[in-house]
Amino acid sequence: MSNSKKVSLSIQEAQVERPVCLLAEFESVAGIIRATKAIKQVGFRHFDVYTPFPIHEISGLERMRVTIFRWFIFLSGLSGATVALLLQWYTNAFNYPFLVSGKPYFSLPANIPITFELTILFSALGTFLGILFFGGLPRFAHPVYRSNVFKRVTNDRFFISIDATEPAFDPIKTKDALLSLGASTVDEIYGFPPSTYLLPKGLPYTLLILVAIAIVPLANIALIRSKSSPVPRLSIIPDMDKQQKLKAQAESTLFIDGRAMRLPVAGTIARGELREDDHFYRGKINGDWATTFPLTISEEFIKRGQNRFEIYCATCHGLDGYGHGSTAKRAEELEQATWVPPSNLHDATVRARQVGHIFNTITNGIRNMPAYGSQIPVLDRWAIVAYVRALQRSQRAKLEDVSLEMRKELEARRKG
Amino acid sequence: MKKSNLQLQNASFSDLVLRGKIGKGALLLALIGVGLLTLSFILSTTAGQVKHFLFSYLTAFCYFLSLSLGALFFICVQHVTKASWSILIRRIAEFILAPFVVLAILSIPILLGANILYEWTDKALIASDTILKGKSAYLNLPFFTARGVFYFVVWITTSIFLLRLSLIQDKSKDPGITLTLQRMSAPILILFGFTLTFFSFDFMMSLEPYWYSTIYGVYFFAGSAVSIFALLIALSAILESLGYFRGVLKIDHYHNLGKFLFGFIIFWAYIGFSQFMLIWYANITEETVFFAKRFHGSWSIVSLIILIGHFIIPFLGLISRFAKRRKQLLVTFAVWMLVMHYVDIYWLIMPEFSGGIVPPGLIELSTMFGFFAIVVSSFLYLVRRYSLVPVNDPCLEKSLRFAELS
Repeated sequence: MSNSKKVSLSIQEAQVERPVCLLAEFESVAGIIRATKAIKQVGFRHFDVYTPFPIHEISGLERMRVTIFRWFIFLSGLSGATVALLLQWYTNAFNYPFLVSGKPYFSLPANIPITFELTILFSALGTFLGILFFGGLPRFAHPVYRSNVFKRVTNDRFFISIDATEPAFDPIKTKDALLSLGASTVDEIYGFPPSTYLLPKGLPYTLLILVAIAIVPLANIALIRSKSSPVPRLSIIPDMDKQQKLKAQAESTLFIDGRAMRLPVAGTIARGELREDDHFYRGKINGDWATTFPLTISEEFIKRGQNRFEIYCATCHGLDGYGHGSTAKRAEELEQATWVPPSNLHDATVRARQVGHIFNTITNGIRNMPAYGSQIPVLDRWAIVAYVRALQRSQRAKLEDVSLEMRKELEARRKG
Repeated sequence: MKKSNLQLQNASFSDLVLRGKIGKGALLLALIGVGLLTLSFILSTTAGQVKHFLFSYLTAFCYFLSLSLGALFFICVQHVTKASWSILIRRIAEFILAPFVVLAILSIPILLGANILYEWTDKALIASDTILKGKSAYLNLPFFTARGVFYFVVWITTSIFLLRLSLIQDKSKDPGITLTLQRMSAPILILFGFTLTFFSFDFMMSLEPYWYSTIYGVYFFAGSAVSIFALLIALSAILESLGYFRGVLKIDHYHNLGKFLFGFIIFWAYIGFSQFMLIWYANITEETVFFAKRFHGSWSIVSLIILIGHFIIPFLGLISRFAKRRKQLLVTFAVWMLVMHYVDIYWLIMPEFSGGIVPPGLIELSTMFGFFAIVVSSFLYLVRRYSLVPVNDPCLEKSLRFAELS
């Protein structure tokens, strides 16, 4: 069963050309194992074994040659790790510094999962592409497919092909040797005729045209992005884009004043929003800052004030009111140019300020400090004012401010 | 082919039981171990350092227990996966189950010293603390004791089951025993998972009763899995140097053990990092307390040693096939990992004793060697009596031919 097809092609060519390999067919597992061992023993290296299923004895014999492939994978993994770290550093710490729950912009623990993933991804891609590259793939066809008997390789036959590149290769002697090893047939396999290596004639042009066409949409997008146009944009679903209603700031043709929205009747006040008590709501009496509280102060009230102060104020003004809260400290650390340091609440100016004025500052903000009127209810704002007063007094307390029991204890401590 | 292998088998297995010289010291060793433990106890009580003694005792206890737990895991996994490559060395792992019995007895001092070791035994503290009060339904001495007894009953019965059937097969040549073992190993693995996890919760994690981490058990498991492969590599090499397995135990067996060792080192790091990162990111006070103790002050040095010694060095060292197929190199790494595993257990337990680092001193050394002597003697007790290889396992042939087949 020699390759009759090849012979019929051109006798002259076949005589000149050497076969690229010899393909020996075996009928049993034992046969192929015996033959592989024998070939291995002779010292042949340029051969391949094809079987319909893995045979451990053979994969053990044919130990993979150690190539630089493993270093290639290792380097792929390393480059994955490097790319991941650089990416995270660039996006999160350099190009757009983004603070996440007080962690440093570039912190290794947070970066490890991404680094790990990219290391795996790059090693996997490196392995895949490396196998293609080092294995000389993709290869559209292999000469062994020219043999008709080889079709049974996925079914019930076992094959050994010995390449002509093998130094000891001799078409006749090697063939005899294979037959003596129990091969049922040995085919001489010839390379493909040169014409089969050529690409179909139109293919390069077709590809070139396709590539050129593929550039058109991209070029169009680039063009449109770079200039303005008086033509309104395309509206694919017009009745969704243009609904029969007036949007905010749109002009109405129905009302004389042209407003889309009706104004409430002059003097309208929402329920509970009257707020005519100037003292309570704005901290003013007859236009001047109030010096008194609009309500009676209890210990509980001041405690409430302390609680609110620690939530809303202490981040900047600090728990002690000296203006060293964590936000202020952080801003100083980062040397933020636009940052106005928060007031020291124990300054003479702040201490001299009327309670109504402090209430107003909390409500409407001052300098960099935002208005807290919408966040803190009126009563709580007054509680904070009361606590601020207590805080100020605590820093300049006299002995008389302290209860009798405490006084004794303090005096005892001073003596001791 | 089969014939030649059997001849090989007969030649190298001619003397499968350890010769008298090695085994005879077993009783003496055990006595030395008990002596060392009593001595360190007496010395520490006179020096007023009972707490220190108990913590080092617990460290040594957990270390050697983790090795035996690793062996239990190894054997069951081999049976469940019907692995044949490992049959040659399976008996060594089966012998490592022996310490369970002595460790059960050695757990009594922990129980007696629980009042000193565990904060949650303090009744006055529980009454004043809502968190401990809430946990007291689980963390109380009677229930703790009951659980401890349960764990050891499970481990000892399953160990006896696995070892006994395997030994019976040596004589009866019944291949059905292999099937029974394979069938029973799956439920044993489930039991193993639960008992190991809750053991680590009870005996180790509860040292800091306010803190908890659900991955703690997996972390402990990862450490014991690393150490069993390290131990099997080291023991095989020792036995081979004594003249056993010669010519039978191939580098391919070591290579396989090395691959598992390498894999579990990565697994350990993965679990350790998973535990760390979630706590680090959330930064919640009651969760960070564990790492706060270990990452600040002098304990941070130990943390760094573990990161580098338990992961980075063996990872880079064992990554190549070359390293895993050089026996001496592999054994060096195995011994290194066994030491690092001790540092790991030490790092888990000792920071609960002292805020500053406690360098392993006389108490640590004497407890470790005491445990070591007792555990080794229990191991030798079996080694002296039974074959080092499950000679009549129906798949032993495949294990012997592993080098050709792989």
